[in-house]
Amino acid sequence: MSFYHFSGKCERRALSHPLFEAVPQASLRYAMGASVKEERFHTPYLRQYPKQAWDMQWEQGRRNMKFIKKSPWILHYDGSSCNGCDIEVLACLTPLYDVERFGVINTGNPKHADILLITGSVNEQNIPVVKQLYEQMANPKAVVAVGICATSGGIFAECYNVIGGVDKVLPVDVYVPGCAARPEAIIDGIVKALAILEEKQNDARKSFTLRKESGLLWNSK
Amino acid sequence: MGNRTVIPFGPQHPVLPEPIHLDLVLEDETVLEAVPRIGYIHRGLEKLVEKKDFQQYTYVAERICGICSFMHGMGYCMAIESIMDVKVPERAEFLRTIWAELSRMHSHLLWLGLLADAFGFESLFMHSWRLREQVLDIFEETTGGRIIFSVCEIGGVRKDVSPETLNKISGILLSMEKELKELAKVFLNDSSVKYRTRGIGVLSKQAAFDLGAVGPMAKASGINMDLRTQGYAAYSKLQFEPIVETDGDSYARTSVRLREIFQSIDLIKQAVSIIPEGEIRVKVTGNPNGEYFTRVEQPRGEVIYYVKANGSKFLDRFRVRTPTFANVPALLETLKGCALADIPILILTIDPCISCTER
Amino acid sequence: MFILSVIMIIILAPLAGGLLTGTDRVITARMQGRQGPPVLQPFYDVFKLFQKESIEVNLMHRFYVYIALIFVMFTTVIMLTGGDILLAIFALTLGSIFFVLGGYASNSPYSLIGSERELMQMMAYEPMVLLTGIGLYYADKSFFIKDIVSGQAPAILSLPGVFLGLLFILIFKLRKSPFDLSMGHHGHQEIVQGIKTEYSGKDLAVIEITHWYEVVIALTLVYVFFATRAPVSSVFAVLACILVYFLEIVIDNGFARTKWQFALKSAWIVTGVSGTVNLVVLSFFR
Repeated sequence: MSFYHFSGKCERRALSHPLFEAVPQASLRYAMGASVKEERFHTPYLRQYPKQAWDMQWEQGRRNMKFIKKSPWILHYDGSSCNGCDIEVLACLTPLYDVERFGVINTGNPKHADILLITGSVNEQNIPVVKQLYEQMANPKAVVAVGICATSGGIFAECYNVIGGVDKVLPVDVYVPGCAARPEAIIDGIVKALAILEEKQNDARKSFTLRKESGLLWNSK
Repeated sequence: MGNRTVIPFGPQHPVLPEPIHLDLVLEDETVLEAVPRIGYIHRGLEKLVEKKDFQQYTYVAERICGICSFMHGMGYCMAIESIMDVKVPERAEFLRTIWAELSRMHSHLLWLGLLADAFGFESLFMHSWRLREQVLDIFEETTGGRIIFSVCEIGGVRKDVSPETLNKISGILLSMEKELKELAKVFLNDSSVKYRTRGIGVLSKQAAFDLGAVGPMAKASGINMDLRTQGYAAYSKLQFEPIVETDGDSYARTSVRLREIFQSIDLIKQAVSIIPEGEIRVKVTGNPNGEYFTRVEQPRGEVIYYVKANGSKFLDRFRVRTPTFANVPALLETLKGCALADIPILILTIDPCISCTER
Repeated sequence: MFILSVIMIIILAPLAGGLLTGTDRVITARMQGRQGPPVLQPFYDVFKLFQKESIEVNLMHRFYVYIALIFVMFTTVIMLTGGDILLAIFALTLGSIFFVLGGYASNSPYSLIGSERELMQMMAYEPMVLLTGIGLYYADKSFFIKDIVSGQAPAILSLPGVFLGLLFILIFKLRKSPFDLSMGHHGHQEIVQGIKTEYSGKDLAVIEITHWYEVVIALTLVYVFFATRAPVSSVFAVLACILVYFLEIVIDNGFARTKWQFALKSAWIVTGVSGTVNLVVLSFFR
């Protein structure tokens, strides 16, 4: 259950990043690789690996042509949020930020999605819903907690009905700060989640084949 | 006796931006009954008045909802200022009015985009939100935030806007008006949009009055009710007429909201031309003592704020009655007997802000 | 030799369909004021889906999707090697029925409603597709595509009404607004993803590939109307196919989704008016 602490990036920087300019596909791949590689090396989780082994793994991964990085489908769920972060997530799909350039589609179906974007400090009634959404998703999957409410409860952390952040319910991979989180920061968070997804796929390739589940999961309690 | 299925609609659903659960009993795509279940966004923030003092609580009040955020802050500040008998300077009133009308524009454009998405017209969704980004750019330039900008405080506003910026805002709005006219033409005249909205969810004037509908929901059914005529903030110095339609169906509500966008542009132009110079805030000392309630016209309707203070720096009670709460009985009335394909449109025509409703 | 051409068709047709779908997404994005994904995006989607886990609800619903793919492949092979057009139409219909059965087997309320809507759509467009086959026989005296394609005059000269009807129902077959009732391409549907709701991983990838084959089949039907014995006419026919596809994309971006009552009614009216009238008028000339 590893989680990568988002090291508080300045959101404006993301706009001038080569990732967000109109680049042809080849340099886009390089740009994605470059930013994620440097950033990930600084996390405590990865310091246990020597740098040479890490570089070799990265190169192998690039040569194997993993496609999950090129077509991440997201599922967006509002877990007791004030809507601010949700409309910024929807604003990512619109012409100014256009996240479909990276192949991202907002599907409404957990079985089709790779990344779960959760906003909001989860309240008691939402806990079974959030858990069920996560269980319905197919492996490999990543969770991005958008906004400070999803990270730690935000301004509502002391409320009686709020349990204080998504990581009390699900294993979160990327935290995106902000109130409301800016679209640039959300896109940056999705891009970081892509690298994590690729690592998950590398780790457990053989077990991602078939999962049997029983009929209707939704129990209207 | 057709085949009955029960569809669980929500809380996670692609057309719903917020979680609300409806158990729909369907018979071949006609809805027989809808059993709602809410409570997925209830955070209990009204109890936070015991932990955060009345100055800090402005930030919590703004985050009741991200879309109507500015007006929640404004209403709360107006209530506290009335209890403490603080006279807000005129320039601050005008600035508040300008930001409030810009909020209304951005909220209506957001709603138009979501409505277009709900009936499958993705291009309109993209174009409405592209126009909305220009309003958000104005917010960012004047206040620093895109949707939640803590610029209202007790005693006035926190940031001033220079005259050049005000003129620039007028220029931007003028250019937006041309594009908005084209967008309005598509929403009002396109045949497939009319097919999806005309005659859907008809609410008669008497039913709207009995069920207590507020905002554009009531205005589209013929009830002439707009709280801005009461004259809070700087509205007493601006001229406008409330927009009323008589049909009462979804088409009328779309039309009301579209015309309100143009009305907001007009109001901002008037405010920019007569805004006076002066201070933007007064210093507030001491603690509030007393109770008051104010009403504000939000994009979704009438909001009532009730504040009770007892002389210490923590308030006794804060209560918000939001417009979606008042519109829900009207929604349940319109849901009877509609088709499954109409449900997202009907839920969206009350402009639901579930996070406002459940606080 | 024949085996070789069959294998080439089976491999190349989905590649062409995928490229067409990719350009569709790019053009749609440009019309909406965005930049859009890279043109090869559908291939990235399918390869990614192959690497994900498949979730199985019960034994049968995955099986139907593969059977539908086999029938659609069979139809493509028949059409592209110049075979019998009626056999192709019936095989395609049977493949779609298997797909619908897969939706019913999934046992989720959303896929049930998606399957019902898919059946409605089939009721709406099947008369016109059959009329196309019958009209082409009436014009060129043969059911075989290789005879129709090597005629003297292009079939469109004697069947303009049928062609217009075919353009109308291509909106159903290519799953575009205003008639994308049963299976949402990108979400934002009131029935979540419709028939596709319970599929994931490899099965979803197979549904995508089936859609690519269907795009190729739809454009082959358009091609048949324009090709003649002269080799230069095939250039015009391919150009006509590209123009028709572009027209469908423009229609997709210009209309809201309608309800099933309107879809059914309008498809039958178009079939009745332009299809039947065309054939009646043609019978006076023969």
